[in-house]
Amino acid sequence: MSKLTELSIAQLSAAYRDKSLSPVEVTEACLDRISTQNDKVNAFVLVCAEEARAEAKAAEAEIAAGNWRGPLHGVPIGHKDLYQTAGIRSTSASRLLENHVPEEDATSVARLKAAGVIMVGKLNTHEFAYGPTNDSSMFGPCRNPWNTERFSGGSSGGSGAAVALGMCAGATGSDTGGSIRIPSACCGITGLKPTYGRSSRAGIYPLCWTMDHAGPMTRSAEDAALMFQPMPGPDGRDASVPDRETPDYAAALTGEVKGLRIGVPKHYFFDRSMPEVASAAEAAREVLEGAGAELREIDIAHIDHAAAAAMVIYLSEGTSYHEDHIATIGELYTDQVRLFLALGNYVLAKDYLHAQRYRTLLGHAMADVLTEVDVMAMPTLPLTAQAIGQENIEIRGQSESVFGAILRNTEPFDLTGLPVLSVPCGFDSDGMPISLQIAGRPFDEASVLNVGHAYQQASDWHSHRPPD
Amino acid sequence: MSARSPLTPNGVQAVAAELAGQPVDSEKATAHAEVFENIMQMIETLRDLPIKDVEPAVVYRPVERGEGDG
Repeated sequence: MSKLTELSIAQLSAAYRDKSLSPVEVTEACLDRISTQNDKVNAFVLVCAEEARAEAKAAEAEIAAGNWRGPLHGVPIGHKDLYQTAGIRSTSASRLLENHVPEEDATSVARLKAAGVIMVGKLNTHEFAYGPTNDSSMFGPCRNPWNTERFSGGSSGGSGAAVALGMCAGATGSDTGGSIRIPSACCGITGLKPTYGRSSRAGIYPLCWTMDHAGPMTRSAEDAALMFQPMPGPDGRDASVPDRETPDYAAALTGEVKGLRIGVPKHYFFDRSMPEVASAAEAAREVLEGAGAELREIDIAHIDHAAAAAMVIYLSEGTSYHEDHIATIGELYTDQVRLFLALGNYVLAKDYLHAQRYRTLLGHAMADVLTEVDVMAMPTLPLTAQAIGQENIEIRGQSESVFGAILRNTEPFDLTGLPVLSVPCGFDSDGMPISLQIAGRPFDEASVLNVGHAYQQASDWHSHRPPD
Repeated sequence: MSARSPLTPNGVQAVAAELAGQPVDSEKATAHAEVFENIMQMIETLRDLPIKDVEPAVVYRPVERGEGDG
């Protein structure tokens, strides 16, 4: 990776301000990087080179004229192709939208644009975000930058691979069952799933209205704080977004965790993870303990039912959203997504409501725990990235589906809507990344970002990059 | 909890055609029945939860103009 494409958002911002770097040369470096690296992973599905060059020149001129918009001004990013971008093809990686050009930006796209980012292109995703591997896509699978025979994780796989390889400094993702955190963990980067309703989903194709979240994927917690800053707040387009004050996330990154109470849920999250994954997460929490945090073992009531509830909600809401197209042009979906959409026809309304009632129950259980601790920390995933197309895996002697395993640790926080940050915390014996996730109280993204930042101040796992 | 009979391809085919309005052929019905039987076994565990007095996470909010509703 060239030095320019290794720089963090914070470093780019500082260099632009002191004029030691220009957005034009950094954007060109990213476009070069895409030209040499993208073919091996299939992360970008559309490169907007000319538009990016024009935006970079404009940013350079604005900054030179003293019209600096903030830390994202002139920073090259990519958008998940689930996000609608005005005048630019937005497909959700589906043949149904193969030539779809929206007229309006998604709220997050518009807000990041107003903050001055440069969009270098659109990123691969599992079709309509309906899967955790990015295996099923009109464009073909997104591959893992650490081993191209393995999946990138999904659904925001293009975002994970592109940021890991330095093709852009950050990317947008969406998370319904884990789709920001799963590819972040598989690709060795940092991802923030904010509180449900903190950021608008308007203009992002829905998978499940009651569980969809929009957030940033970056190479550090500090960059996640900077990139997320313009995203929160009501837009009049997404009724889930309350009118709450948005903190200064970067200012909250004190790196101080002394006295912070970190809950460690061994049951479910650690005891069903690959031993190497559990060991790396245990080592990570010890780093935080070494920085002054207090670790407490916790137990989350009713957690074992999370997968069942999440499955019922995906199937019901996904099939409802796609109802019209299933009946008329269903053959255009990829096989796996078409199967999931068909299965949604068999879910009873009472079971959907049981699942939604379970969410309340689990929300209370987590709220109880969060009166005793400030945050919770556990492996983001119970496994590392596996072979593309692999259907089953054995973990601690138990055979299970890859889809079920990969979603297990992330789904509970989509069900409860709590904010979660995933940070790299090691590698397995095959050289595949392992991550820790840190979950906090509703609307307290600042705390999970700060814990992640503190961890990254005391470790260097987030600075490891895939080989060229 | 009442006892449930395992899903059959015929049952799946009837639901798809008669309730969902998306008929499937017998081959697909067999495949769907096998996959969804496993899912139903997961779903059944939700029916035993202590949720008698628990409201669903999704509750109706009266619409007021100007709030925006997507």
